[in-house]
Amino acid sequence: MNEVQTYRTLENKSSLIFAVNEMAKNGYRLVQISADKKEDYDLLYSFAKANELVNLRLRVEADEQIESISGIYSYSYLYENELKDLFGLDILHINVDFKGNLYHTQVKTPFLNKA
Amino acid sequence: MFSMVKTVLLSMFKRPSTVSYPQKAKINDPLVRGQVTIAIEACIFCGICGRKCPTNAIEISKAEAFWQIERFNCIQCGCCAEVCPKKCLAMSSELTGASAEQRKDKYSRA
Amino acid sequence: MGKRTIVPFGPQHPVLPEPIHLDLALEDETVIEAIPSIGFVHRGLEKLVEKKDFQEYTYVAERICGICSFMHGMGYCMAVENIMSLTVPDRAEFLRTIWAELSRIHSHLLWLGLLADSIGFESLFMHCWRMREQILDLFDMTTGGRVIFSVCKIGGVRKDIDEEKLKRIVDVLNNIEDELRSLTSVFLEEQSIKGRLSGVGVLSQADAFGLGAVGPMARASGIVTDTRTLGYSAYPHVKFNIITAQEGDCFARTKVRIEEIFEAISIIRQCAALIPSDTLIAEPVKGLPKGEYFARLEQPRGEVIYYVKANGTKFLDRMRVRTPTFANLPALLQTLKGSELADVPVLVLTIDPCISCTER
Repeated sequence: MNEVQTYRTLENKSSLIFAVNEMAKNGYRLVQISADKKEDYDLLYSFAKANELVNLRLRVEADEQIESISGIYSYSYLYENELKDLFGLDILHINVDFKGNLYHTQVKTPFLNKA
Repeated sequence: MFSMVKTVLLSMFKRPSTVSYPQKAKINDPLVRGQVTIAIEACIFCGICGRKCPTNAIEISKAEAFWQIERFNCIQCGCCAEVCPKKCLAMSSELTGASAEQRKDKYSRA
Repeated sequence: MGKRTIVPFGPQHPVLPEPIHLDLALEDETVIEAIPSIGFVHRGLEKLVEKKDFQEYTYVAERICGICSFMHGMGYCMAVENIMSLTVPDRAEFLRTIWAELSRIHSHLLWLGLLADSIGFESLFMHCWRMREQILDLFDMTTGGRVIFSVCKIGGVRKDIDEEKLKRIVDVLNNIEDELRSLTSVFLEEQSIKGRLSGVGVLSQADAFGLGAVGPMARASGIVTDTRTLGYSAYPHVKFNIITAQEGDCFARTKVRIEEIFEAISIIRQCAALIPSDTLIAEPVKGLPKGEYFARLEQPRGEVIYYVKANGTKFLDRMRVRTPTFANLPALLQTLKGSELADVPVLVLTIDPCISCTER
């Protein structure tokens, strides 16, 4: 394995856009955005370039809103809509906002509560 | 053009690639995971298979000494046969036949 | 300005074995916008990790998708193994590589058949699937299942392939290689296929990168990317080329996939020659996982990501799968814009969509 994985924790949500912008400038591609919900959301933004994988970690309060990064990575809208539909995370200003209609699930936001 | 003629001729004289199934039985490799079989005399009803089963298809009762499987809940992963301490469970290469109803097979030690 | 209409495409459609719905906004016959909606086969498998023992979950992970089932199990196992710092025995790594590449051959043959079917070339479809059947028989013979192998486990593999069977695999592949050569000439030289596919759904290199395309979709647009070069499993021991094409149209995607089959055959041959002859195929699992890891591996459709977060109990905190089809959706929507309605089925097919992967 010659893969290098790094994790970086962002202090607050206002530094997210700046950090993501930096990744875009350095030629990284967005690999995925994932969330884990306990008391608050634990978001992971992953970026890859060659054999590098950089993960930006962001903690968001349960009722907090965050900015979309779709202004920087236009294809992030799918991941962000997914978070919105499955976790009920409120993401503002997504370039293509499905408003909860991407996933047709029987239960709304099925991943919101831990079993 | 000629390659096409070749393909056509080959297809005309070759045996079919398919097996005409119900008339001719398909012989499975002994490795094929068809269904779970149990040698009930050797079973100690420990219940490990039931706990490990990913679909909870197996039900065991130590008191009543029976071992029961829901045939169509079983996903033929072979997990139970692997964890069985007495090795009384095995995967046979014979498949579960189709059925319109749920099929429960109950084995008990008489 | 022509007449505007909205045509629903899917969830049930003859070219799609799986349900995805697209709303196509048309101007006369030209698509101006495509809006996807998914979730018809959402099973919440990511949520299930909270209720299933992490070792049992391997069986569930394999059932995310029926085509690349082995690689799903392998990706999940790789992630957990890395968290637990388990070293997989060399022989198991080679066996995994052989099965993974066989899966690639079978997936690409299946796709070639579907493509032939979608452009109305029925006999070619039959020929592709006849060849694919031989690969499925190999799976049957070596793992005990045609589609779901249940052969990967944390720490290694559950079944060994003996010398005789390895020889048989290589023999069958030699056979398939010959047959495939004649089919390749049909796919790449036949005028009707060329006419149907070239110039359709062009995805430029800049767009492919800018929309995050992965796998054959990106490679057909001239991006050199292949997760296998990260050197997981037995890939550092074998030589292989990354197949790329420059045109970025449906024809280029076909070409890339056909050549990848030959490449996969060559990888399996090398593996069969290099495989170490020790008997250890699985390392025992001790303790419980704690930590997090991203496993990245190359599926037939592109890069798949397995994120596992473990908290030191036997239930995992979170598992996330980012499948290649999900990453390729934005690129698909881009190529759909401006295409003819009649081309839509072919375009949807050339990303090799796997919807049950996408929704998990």
